[in-house]
Amino acid sequence: MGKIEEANEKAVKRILEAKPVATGVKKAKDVIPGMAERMLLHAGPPIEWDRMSGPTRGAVMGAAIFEGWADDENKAVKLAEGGEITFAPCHDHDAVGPMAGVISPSMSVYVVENQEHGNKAYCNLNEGLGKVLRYGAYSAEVIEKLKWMEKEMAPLLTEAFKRSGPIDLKEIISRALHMGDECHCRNVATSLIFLKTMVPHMIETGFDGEIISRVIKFMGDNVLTFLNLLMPACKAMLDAGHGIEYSTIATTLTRNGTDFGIRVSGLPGQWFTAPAPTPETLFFPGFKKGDEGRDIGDSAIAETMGLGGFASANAPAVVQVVGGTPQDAANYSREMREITVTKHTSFTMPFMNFEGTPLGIDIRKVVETGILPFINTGVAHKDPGVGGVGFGLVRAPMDCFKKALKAFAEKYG
Amino acid sequence: MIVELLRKPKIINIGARNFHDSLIAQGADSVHVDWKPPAGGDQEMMKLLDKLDKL
Repeated sequence: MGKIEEANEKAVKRILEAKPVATGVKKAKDVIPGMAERMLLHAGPPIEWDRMSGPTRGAVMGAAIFEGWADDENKAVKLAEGGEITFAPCHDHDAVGPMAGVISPSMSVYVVENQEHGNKAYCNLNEGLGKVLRYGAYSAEVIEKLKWMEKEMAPLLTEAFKRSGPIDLKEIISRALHMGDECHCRNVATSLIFLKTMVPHMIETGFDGEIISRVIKFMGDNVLTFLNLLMPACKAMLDAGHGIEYSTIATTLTRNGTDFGIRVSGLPGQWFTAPAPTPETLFFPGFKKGDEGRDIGDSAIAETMGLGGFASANAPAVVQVVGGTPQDAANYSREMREITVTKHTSFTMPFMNFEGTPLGIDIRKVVETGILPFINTGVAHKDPGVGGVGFGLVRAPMDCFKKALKAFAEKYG
Repeated sequence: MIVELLRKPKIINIGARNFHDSLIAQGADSVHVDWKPPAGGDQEMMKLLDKLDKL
């Protein structure tokens, strides 16, 4: 066996062995490594204000208002333009964020621990669909909802987690894959299983019944409640396979609405980027082609882990957004086998005869076959301040993989 | 056997799908094999892949 095959086997073994559990909800500034005052984390590879996409700018403006750094969007823009806000990728701080992925110091985050290897990952709480910060909206109602989440939802979850003990996220994902979720755009089953698990502990907290009722309704109505636990679970698993010498496995696929970026296990500390593509989109009522922004969010960590687009066979309804059929959905999962090194042992697809989802994207296979990772995704409006416009399908750009392969050959070849 | 060959041909088309589509449109019996040159023919990438194969 060659050095690369050996290293890749080691990387995926560690990824498969990882045991991500949710242990609590805490303030970002108290737990995220390197989280500083006046710092905002964002999705995707590194980027500064002048190149940020509309939705990322909108989320930055909203976060600055939420933190009380600015009274309105104009003052927030001045702060950002003046270099008074430090920006850094979530991924470089053990965190992930969906869509714009902006995490500010006072926001509450889920804490996920990989019990097998000891690493941790963090993600903010999901705000629901439509006009929300992560899609670049920053109006008064957006800020008000974020403040309510901090005032009622986060304290209740914090106390509930103290009573529940660690919640096994891998088990929830495994079960949900047999209930019609592909665990990226469709997180219906995961969200309900998680909520069902937490409700008794919420009641045990002794919080006011009306608060408990509001939080349960909010989380129950939101089909993406679990996305913000799924993402750090995937990150915690994939980070266990990061930093393995000679490994060509991609451990991160992510986007910031301007650039698409990947990280490779054998090349720690390096980003490989290319312009982010525009997803094929099914629009929410009231939006049309041309409204959509370019691909955005850390949520492609799901595909990196063999979920989402890679598990399309489980959720044909997602492929239907662009007129696809159940057969197309199965074909996407089959196609992803061509660029991965193994099949997941716990995450399986009933419609594919319980075959494991394709795991371990090998940058060599992507370049050699020309088959690009297939991603299911939310789509934000291209302008700041609007919000979500639909769901879409997109492929990762080839240039990231070619650049990574070149760097890999320079280091190891 | 030779007579068989002179009857309606069974075609395996490798690479460009247009040929396969044209054959089907004319009523021929064709199977398409989706093949592309490694790295889409990018010489630099092909050399790098070869180099890494030897590790």
